[in-house]
Amino acid sequence: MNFEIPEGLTDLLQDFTVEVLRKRPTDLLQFAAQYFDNLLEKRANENAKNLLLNNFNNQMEEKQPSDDDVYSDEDEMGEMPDLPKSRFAGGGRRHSVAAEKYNPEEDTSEEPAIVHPKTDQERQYLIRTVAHIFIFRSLEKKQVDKVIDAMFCREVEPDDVIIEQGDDGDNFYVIESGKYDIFVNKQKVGEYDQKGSFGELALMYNMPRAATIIATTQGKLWALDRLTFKRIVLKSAFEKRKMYEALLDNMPMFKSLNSYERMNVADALFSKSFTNGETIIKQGEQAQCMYFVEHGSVRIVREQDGQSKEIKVCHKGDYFGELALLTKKPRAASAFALGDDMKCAILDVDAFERLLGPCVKIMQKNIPDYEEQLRKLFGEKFNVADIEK
Amino acid sequence: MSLFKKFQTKSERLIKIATSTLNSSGTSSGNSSTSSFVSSTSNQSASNQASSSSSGTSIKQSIKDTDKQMGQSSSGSKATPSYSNNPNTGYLTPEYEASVKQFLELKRKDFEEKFKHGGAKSQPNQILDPKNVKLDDFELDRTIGTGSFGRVIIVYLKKDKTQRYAMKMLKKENIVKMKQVEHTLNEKKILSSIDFPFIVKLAYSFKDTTNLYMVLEYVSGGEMFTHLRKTGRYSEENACFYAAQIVLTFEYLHYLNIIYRDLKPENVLYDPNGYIKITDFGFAKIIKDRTWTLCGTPEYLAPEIILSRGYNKAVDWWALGVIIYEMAAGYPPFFAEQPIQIYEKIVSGHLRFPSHFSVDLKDLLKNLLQVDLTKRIGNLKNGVNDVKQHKWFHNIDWMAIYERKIKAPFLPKEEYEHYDEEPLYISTTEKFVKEFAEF
Ligand SMILES: Nc1ncnc2c1ncn2[C@@H]1O[C@H](COP(=O)(O)OP(=O)(O)OP(=O)(O)O)[C@@H](O)[C@H]1O
Ligand SMILES: [Mg+2]
Repeated sequence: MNFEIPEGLTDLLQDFTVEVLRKRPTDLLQFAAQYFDNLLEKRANENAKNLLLNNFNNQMEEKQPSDDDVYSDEDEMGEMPDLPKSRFAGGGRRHSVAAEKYNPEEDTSEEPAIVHPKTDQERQYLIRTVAHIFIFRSLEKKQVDKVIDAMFCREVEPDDVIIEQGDDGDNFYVIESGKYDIFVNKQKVGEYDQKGSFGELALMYNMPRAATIIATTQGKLWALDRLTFKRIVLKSAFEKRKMYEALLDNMPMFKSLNSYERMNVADALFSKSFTNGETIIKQGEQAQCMYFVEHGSVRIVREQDGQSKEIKVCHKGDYFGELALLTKKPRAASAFALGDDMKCAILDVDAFERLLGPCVKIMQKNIPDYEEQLRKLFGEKFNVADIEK
Repeated sequence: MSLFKKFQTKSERLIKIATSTLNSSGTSSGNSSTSSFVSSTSNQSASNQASSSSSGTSIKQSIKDTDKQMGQSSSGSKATPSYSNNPNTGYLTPEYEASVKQFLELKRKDFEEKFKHGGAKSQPNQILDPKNVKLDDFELDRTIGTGSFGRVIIVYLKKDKTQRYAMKMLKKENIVKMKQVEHTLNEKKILSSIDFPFIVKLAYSFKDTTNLYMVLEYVSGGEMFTHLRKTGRYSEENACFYAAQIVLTFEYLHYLNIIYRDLKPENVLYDPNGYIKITDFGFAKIIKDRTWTLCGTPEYLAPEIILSRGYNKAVDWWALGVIIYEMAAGYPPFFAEQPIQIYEKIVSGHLRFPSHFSVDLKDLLKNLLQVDLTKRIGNLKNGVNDVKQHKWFHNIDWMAIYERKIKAPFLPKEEYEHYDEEPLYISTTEKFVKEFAEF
């Protein structure tokens, strides 16, 4: 029989047996349970200590050999991570955070967007600065423009307190000019000089400020408040969804989806812009996506016997390439953007199927209508039976 | 053969080796005691002392009911395991899934009925008249938790000192100041209408001029948070045991169209049997399709919440990924000194694992901590079944977990954090009557 003795077993049992012999317990089982329990607790305490304290002090080199078996994270993590003091030390229970309620679906106010005028130069500077901040990075150009419009100017004098540690945080600031000192717990921890930004957490929810910032020279700041920011971002996210859902509604075969499914499909849509003449779909290529025209027009062209024939022009709200939902067979026609500033909402068929399963099943409910659509788009020659295998 | 069994069959020889190095007598007694010690801590075997589910209807019961309705006997349905290499997963048969659905359907009706009437009229074992409870009915013992708007205090019923509860006390003024009125109303309404073994139960609720009170069943084993930090990290097997209970709880909540939104070890408590109870329904909400308000706990926020895109139940599956990671690693997947840096990491899509994570665990986490919603499991066409069927869970007998028949990895001692007490102040003038009329 071949077996491996786990490392440490011999020592463990030896120590235990010695302890038994020494203490001569009457209830051996109880004694054993207690003995190993104590060992476990001891190890747990050591681990916790190592995890929560040693690592904060960057004492990785001095790692004790005893916890090697517990943390051998080197390969994939590089090393056992240094856990941040602020969120792990001293108990370290993490509290919840929440923004004030804002529901774009209920916000019917048509009040015009606030615009604080700016020179082109100021705009460019702000766009460049916020481009580095992740909350802005995922915004579309239109949203960024609105956000920049909403930023307001604040001139400051030396010794002005811009934000104070512990105060409510409502604004995000971009520095256009001036010098500023940063204090945490009254200790200076850094400074800004003519550039930079701070307080972006305030755009997400109200949290007491983590630092105090004081101007040391005259200067100029641009500020943005949370509610305005949220309204712009959430409202446009909501409008985009509404637009996507309306596009989906135009497609007869999606009629049978319930609202939750439709929402999921809308989640899977993404927008892409094309320039005049750009190929969106190429005849003969494998089908992978279907398209909705979000903006502009699209020419559908079919090559046959060396001749190309325009079958149709799609406009805003129309869709094309939907056969991809049913078959990955080569495209039967090409699609080209007509005019610049053409934009499509694209539905990846694999994504659709991951969310809802094969489209055929859903569509069979609507087959007669669907055949008609097919004939309209691809002509009488198209054989619906081809795709139903 | 499980690792443990291997160990057990070989333990005899090992003991001999160990004792021979000791060169002492007592070999035979060491032999038997050690091996029985080992088997008594095994959590592979179902425990005899399994507690019965604390929930009113059991799955089995409702299955029987369903079978009766459908005119077939439950023994007639043959179980064909979908995972042939493991007997336990015989559980996940189409028949079983259908019965779970029936069960959940019943649970949903029950919930909707109660919710419509602003919560259950009365709970089992109620000693006080639920409509007429006041602070004076309780003796306050000590603070065991603090939250964003108030504290949680151990209390005793004056009428019956054996009755101990955890009373969550929320200051109306703080709730209003932090604009969380709606969240708090949701908390009470939902908590008083739901019923699941792994969710803390609400016994009573009431308000006075100054505070709102939710009197909860006291869960004595302390927070998973405290225990996890002390232990360092959990073995994957143990993490899996807890994760399975969270999966079932989310299956239940989501079926009721409730999104939970605040999963974290601080909100997961251990009961005396070592099973979990999820507490803190402060962000729970009924949602039709999507919702917009940012809320949760920094390390646990899903990317779509951070990016203000509108989000749905899929955020709970993300959080499940975070808590599984944290249990198995001892620290969460995304951490940094400042929340804003945490958020940057979350939306970046980068995920790194400690090298000790198993292949299956890494695969599960990649699929839960998935930024692309069309790839995040739990959110796809098979819903929760993609999670339940994942290889990492292949040892889990879901039914046995629900019925609390598996022996827990450890039985907690009574445990709570210590907090400074604060004098209780009750104003003589009524505050915020309108805002909290529903409570
Ligand atoms: N039923 C209970 N039994 C025992 N302890 C409890 C119970 N409910 C809550 N606690 C303890 O009180 C703490 C705070 O409760 P809870 O999470 O509900 O408050 P909260 O204000 O919503 O917290 P936060 O917003 O920080 O997440 C919990 O983390 C837990 O330790
Ligand atoms: Mg909490």
